[in-house]
Amino acid sequence: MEEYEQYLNDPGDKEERRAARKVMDGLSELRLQAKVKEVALERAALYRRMFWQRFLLAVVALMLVVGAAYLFFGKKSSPAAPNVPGQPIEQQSNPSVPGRSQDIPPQNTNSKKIDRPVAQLNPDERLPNPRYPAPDATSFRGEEQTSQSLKKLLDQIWYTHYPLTGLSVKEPFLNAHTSLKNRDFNAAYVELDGLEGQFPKNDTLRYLKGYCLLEMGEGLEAQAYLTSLEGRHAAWDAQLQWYRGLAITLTGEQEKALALFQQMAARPQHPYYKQAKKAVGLLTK
Amino acid sequence: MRITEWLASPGPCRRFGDNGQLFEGLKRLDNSAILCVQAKALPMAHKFARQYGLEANAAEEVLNQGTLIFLRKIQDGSYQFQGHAPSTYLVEIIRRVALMQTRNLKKPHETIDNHHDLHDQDVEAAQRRQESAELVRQFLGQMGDPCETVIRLHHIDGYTDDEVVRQGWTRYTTTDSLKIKRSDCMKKLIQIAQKWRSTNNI
Repeated sequence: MEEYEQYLNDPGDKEERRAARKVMDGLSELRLQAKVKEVALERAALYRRMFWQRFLLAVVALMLVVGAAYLFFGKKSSPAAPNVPGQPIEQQSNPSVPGRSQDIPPQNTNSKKIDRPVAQLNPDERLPNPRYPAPDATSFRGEEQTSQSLKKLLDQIWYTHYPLTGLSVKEPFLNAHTSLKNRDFNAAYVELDGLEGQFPKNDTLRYLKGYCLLEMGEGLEAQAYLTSLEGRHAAWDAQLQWYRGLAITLTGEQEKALALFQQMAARPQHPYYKQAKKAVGLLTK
Repeated sequence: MRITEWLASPGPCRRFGDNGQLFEGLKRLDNSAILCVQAKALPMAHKFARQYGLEANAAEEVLNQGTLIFLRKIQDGSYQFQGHAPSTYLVEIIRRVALMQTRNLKKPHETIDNHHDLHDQDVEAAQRRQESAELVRQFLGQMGDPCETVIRLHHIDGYTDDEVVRQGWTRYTTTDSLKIKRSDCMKKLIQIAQKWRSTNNI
């Protein structure tokens, strides 16, 4: 700031000098006031900016925490992967069968992904497509065109599963059991046919043979074996009923099959409820 | 301003590596330097305002008044830098200003009665200068333009003559003509002040 002496008319005049000093003090004070006011405005802007910066950072941090928590806990609580259609389905191995795990080779490398039969699906789970196709069309009787449409239908409802639910396989059926597990139905049939002479009334044999015939496309014969077992073993009944339905469908008696499937579809607790509903839907088209 | 610039905007103290640089900035009346010491002293201003029973928004006022006194002390050389943080001194001034405000509000306070002489020389000097400033403001108002503008731009707003001429804020197109005009105006202002003093027997 300029010195006040230069503005004095009479530098010797004390009053003028005192007044000039007062003016310069006042101006200097005004300058400082203006500066402080300017800085106060800057300060307010700065704190506003800092507030929003912190707010933004807090929001971003919160989002990251929530995102991390979602990823962490979301993954933990998500249900097991749903069954992939067409994948092998294994039941619990029977502890009463010694050396079973050594005897029976793995069916499919994907088998570990599924740990229960399709029939044990939860009510809200989607029904996957059958794991295996129905027996070849050459096995069907009748017109070629009819066989093809029947094959197409059966392919969509061919929900079969081995080992059979509730069946405990012991000697002398272990060889047949192994063949059935490996889906070598011809070998299983030969084995079971041989054993039938020795144990003609054995329920295990009849069930295994009924299933084997079913998978071979022999609907009528399968039906005979399966029907003979009805009401004899409560643990087998649900699956037997389903396999009977498939056997009847195989023979081309669609109305009879539909009636059976409708019975099953009317009971939501039935292990094959979803499959039966699907079958009813396809048969009534 | 882009979001990245906005987020990366530096704090007021980042420009000043040490207390010496900060003091030099305060001497130049650098806004960032003032902002820096204020930012450091503001929490204490809030604390004193609470302690002395002042209103919540009084902290800002106390901070501004304290800053004014502090800058005045730097300008007239009564505060010399000795290596300490300038904000420490500002905090002490703020405390005294807060006490003075408490007295002005006539709120009896234990601390005041027990520990402090309320006739604080710094604060009273500041009040005298405040009165002078008010008078000069009145005189400038009486003078009107162009004297008011010419004096204000240089002595209050702190602009250089070059900048005033370049910006065209007055009718004077050269620094010489601006200086001559300001000299005339200052002489008039001093005469008004002298006249006022004699009239009021001060």
